[in-house]
Amino acid sequence: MRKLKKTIGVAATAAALTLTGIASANAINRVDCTDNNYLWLSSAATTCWANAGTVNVKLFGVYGFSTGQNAGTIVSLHRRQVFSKNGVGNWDKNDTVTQLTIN
Amino acid sequence: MLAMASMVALTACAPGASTRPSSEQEPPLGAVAKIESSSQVKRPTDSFLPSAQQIGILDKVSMAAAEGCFVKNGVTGTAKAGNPAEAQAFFNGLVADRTIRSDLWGFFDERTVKTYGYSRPASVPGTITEQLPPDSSVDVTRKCMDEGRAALGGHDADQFAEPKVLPAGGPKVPSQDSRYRAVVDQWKSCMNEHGFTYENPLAAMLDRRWDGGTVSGEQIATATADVQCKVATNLVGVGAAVQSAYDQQYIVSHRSELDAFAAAWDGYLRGVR
Repeated sequence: MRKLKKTIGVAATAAALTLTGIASANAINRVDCTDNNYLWLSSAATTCWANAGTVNVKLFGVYGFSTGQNAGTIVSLHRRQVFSKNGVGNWDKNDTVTQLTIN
Repeated sequence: MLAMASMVALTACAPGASTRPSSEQEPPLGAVAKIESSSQVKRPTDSFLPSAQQIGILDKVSMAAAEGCFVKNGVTGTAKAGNPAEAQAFFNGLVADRTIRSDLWGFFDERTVKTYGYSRPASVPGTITEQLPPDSSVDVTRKCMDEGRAALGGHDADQFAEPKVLPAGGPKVPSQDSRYRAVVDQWKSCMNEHGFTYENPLAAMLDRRWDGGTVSGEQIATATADVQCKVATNLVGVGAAVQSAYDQQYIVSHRSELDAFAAAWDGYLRGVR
């Protein structure tokens, strides 16, 4: 997972990941990947998320996650993944992430 | 006179000066117990939250509602829950994390630290997976996940493991409390004596060097020193006493909402919305 986080260096320019349709008016928000407390979703354009709430997203090419000091849920087309604090995991990069919840 | 005025202004603008609460704002502490084991920690708010077993039931209620939604929306494939024993072990771990991976004092598990460092033993899964119907669409999946939450008053089952789910976001995490900050300073000194430099206990647990798949000797050494320093300084004892004081204050000011909240999740267990 350490390698996953290093991809942030190319996050600003990578085109493999698209973020669309933030539907919920919650406090959860996308943040700069500057803090290990955040939820990191690693891809060619890694995104990081903070604060509690649920948000609709479309994240392509995600291949791993690091949960920081967060528990919550990641939903994709094929999978609902409930995660706890201080954890890491892999993701099928062909499975689009559609919804995120941070508790 | 001018110099004195400048000094006052500089003091007022010093880092942290505006965020550190005065002792007048801090609730009085009760007895500070000597805490050497995570099993000793109990919080006043625990009684308003479901047990790990009840959270497992809430998850089943929620997913049944989501599955009903998939059917209503013409999705013919079925969702497949993971191993029930594994799911329950996960929920047990989530509840235990109130103490073992606290938002206040970070990591504290004297039973596993010398083998696993900050990581979880294999018997405590860090995630659980449910396979969703493969023929669903993005919109239907989102809608049905929302439907599952609606069965629990708008929450995912796992959210009931943490005090943050309580009315108004639960009690404050008192990381800026002066009594707690004083013991953190002692912990920092202890960690320095062991050769480790961290600003606070959360930073030690979340050190990016621990992100690899294997538990390094360095991680175990750091985590072991972390737990030893927490015991030596009674950081968790002080932290638990400080948190309890804020919890009590919160309970007094939110009593009727807390009772309604507890009655609500008790209803969700029986399928009452």
